[in-house]
Amino acid sequence: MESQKNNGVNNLFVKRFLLYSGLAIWSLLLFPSVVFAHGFGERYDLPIPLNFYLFGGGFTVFISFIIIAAFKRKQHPTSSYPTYTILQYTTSSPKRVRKVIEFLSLATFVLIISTGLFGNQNPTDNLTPTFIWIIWWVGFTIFTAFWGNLWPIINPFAIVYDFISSLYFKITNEDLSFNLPYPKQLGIIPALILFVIFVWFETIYPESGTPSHIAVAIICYLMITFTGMLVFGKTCWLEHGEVFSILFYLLSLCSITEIQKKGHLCQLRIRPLAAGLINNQSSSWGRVVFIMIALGSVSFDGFSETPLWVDITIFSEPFFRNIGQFVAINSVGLLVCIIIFLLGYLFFALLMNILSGSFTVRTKLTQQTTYSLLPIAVGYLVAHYLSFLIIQGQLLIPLISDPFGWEWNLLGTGDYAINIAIINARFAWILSLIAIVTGHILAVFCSHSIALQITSQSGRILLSQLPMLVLMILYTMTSLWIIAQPIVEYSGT
Amino acid sequence: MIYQVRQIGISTAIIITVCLSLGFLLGCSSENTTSSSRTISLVIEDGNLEGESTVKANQNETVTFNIKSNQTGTLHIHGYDLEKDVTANHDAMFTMEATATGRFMIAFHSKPTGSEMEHGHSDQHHHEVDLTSHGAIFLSPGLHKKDSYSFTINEEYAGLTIPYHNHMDSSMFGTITVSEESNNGTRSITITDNSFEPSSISASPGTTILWENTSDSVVMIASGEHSVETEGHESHDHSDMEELELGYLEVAPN
Repeated sequence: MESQKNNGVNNLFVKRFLLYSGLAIWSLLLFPSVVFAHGFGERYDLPIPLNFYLFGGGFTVFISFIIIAAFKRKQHPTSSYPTYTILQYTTSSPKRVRKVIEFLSLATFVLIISTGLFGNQNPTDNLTPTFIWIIWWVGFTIFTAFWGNLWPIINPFAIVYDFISSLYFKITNEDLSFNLPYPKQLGIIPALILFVIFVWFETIYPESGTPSHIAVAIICYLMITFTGMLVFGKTCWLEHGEVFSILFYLLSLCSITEIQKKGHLCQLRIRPLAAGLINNQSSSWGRVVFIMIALGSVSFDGFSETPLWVDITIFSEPFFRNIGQFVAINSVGLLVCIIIFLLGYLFFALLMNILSGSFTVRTKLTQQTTYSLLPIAVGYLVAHYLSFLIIQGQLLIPLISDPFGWEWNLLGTGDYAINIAIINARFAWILSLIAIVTGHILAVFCSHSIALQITSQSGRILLSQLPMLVLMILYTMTSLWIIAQPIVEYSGT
Repeated sequence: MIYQVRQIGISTAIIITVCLSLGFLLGCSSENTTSSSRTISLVIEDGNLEGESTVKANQNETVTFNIKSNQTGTLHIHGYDLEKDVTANHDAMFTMEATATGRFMIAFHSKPTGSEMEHGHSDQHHHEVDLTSHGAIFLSPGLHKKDSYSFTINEEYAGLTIPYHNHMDSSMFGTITVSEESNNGTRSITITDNSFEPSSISASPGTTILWENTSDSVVMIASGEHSVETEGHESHDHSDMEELELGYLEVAPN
């Protein structure tokens, strides 16, 4: 009895030790060394020409009304959609496969941090920036939005926690986590804060291309995630604080696959593109804000490379002279962009509520309609980043032979030079246009379906959808406008 | 069931999109396989480009840049990763095949002022005859099969040897040895698949040299030695140089 109690105290001590040592390493990492960075992730996209832009814009408006007309005839809400099962398995069978994937993910994670910390600090000679920004952030995001969510399986932050907690369990036979009750009223606020920090790091932080800075940022995020899981439990933190679990889950609602669990049997099914957005039952204000941060920051990323933004930057320079003007102006821009998206959405949602004839704001309708904006964001993501992904993504080929930039040639691909002619501008323009217009079609379709599901008076519903339609056309036009602008990079000097 | 009916509406819409876009694609693309050439002059004043900052070309054109700068440095075309050393107040020239479409930054890496002074000094005796600089004396446009190019030697080259090369193939080079006394006339050089025939020729001031291309490939004859700088560059070691953004080269698809 006595010894058991002692043991408990010791375990508490170990947990505290883990927590405090984590915090200590944390504070050390906040002062990284400054390394000179040279242009990483350069873009060679030609802006879409005026006739493509006008065609896209006109077609967007035209197709919107066709969809409206199609809806006018059928007025019954529905929540079912056709699916096709392609794979069936029992919950226990893929364990071994999962272990292998987890191991590979962890190995990659360790490699990326090591190359970042110890490798050549020239961004194009080091695996870390290319892997994180091009392959993972752009490539994996687009993959998730089309094919489905692999993040829960490969999430290295969860794998690290699992590994340590299972070790701890073996030694002490106790759960590693304090499992404190999570304050429910906070919702996903921790994730929202971390998400803003992440998008700031990605779009504005001047050293975001420097390998060591990326590695340090990953370690910091690992610490935060680990601390969160240690305090509130793994599942709780993944739901409320782990940015990428939430982000990739939301994006995967657009994808064409879903997993259905029936007892111990799992089915991997194919479904229509974006069908997951309609049928989703869970919604919260936190998610509305989360999606607006995603939309706002992605649009700002493109907008910040337009000549208009460069003009604004130059114009507002005198006001910011003393506080690192470049970073300051862009930070303000990013924040304003997110706020415009959020307020814009809420304004049009309010109109939608008023026109639907209800005197009280329909919370569920307002919250769920946000999902329908995701396809436009994905379409824009593809349009904006496709050439970049295909051209700069080739950097992975030489880098897998020389991840540290130490002139190794492990697989014999070290001398591969990027082929900039691999994608023709005309092909890229057409694909961009198709991506954006398809995103728009899916968005209009989804918002109608969501409205039909939540309310039943369809006459009013069609009227109430007009504000959303206006918002979507505005958003699509903005996206088109951005890709019709030449990309300029303003260095702030 | 209802959903499926609506689904058909959506599918139709998507099919319309795709068809219209494809039609658009076919309508816009013209089959232009004949490669043409274009000359673009870049005048750089203190690291700034004079005139339009975006220069345009079409895909598969042979683009020749005539560069004039009042500073010594290196002109760098991003993406294609081509570089050309430029001496202050000295015409420089380089040629590229615009194979890839896109928008590529043109940057200028100016050398520190110290070396510019040095160059300014050596400019004096360099100015009369620049034998080794790429294309400083003559540079032909792209010569297709059966095209010819001629160059008449004037007095200032008397007693000198002018090296020249095929800009498209660095293994092809030749020399013109110029005698002291004048003599009008024409000397012909035949361009074969891999050499100039004859590769060394003697001539006099007043002599016209006539090259005729009998090979199947496009040839560009340039005076001077083949500059390695215009080939693809691996390293980006410009840490001692300041990179100035001049403008962009836009290569539009055919």
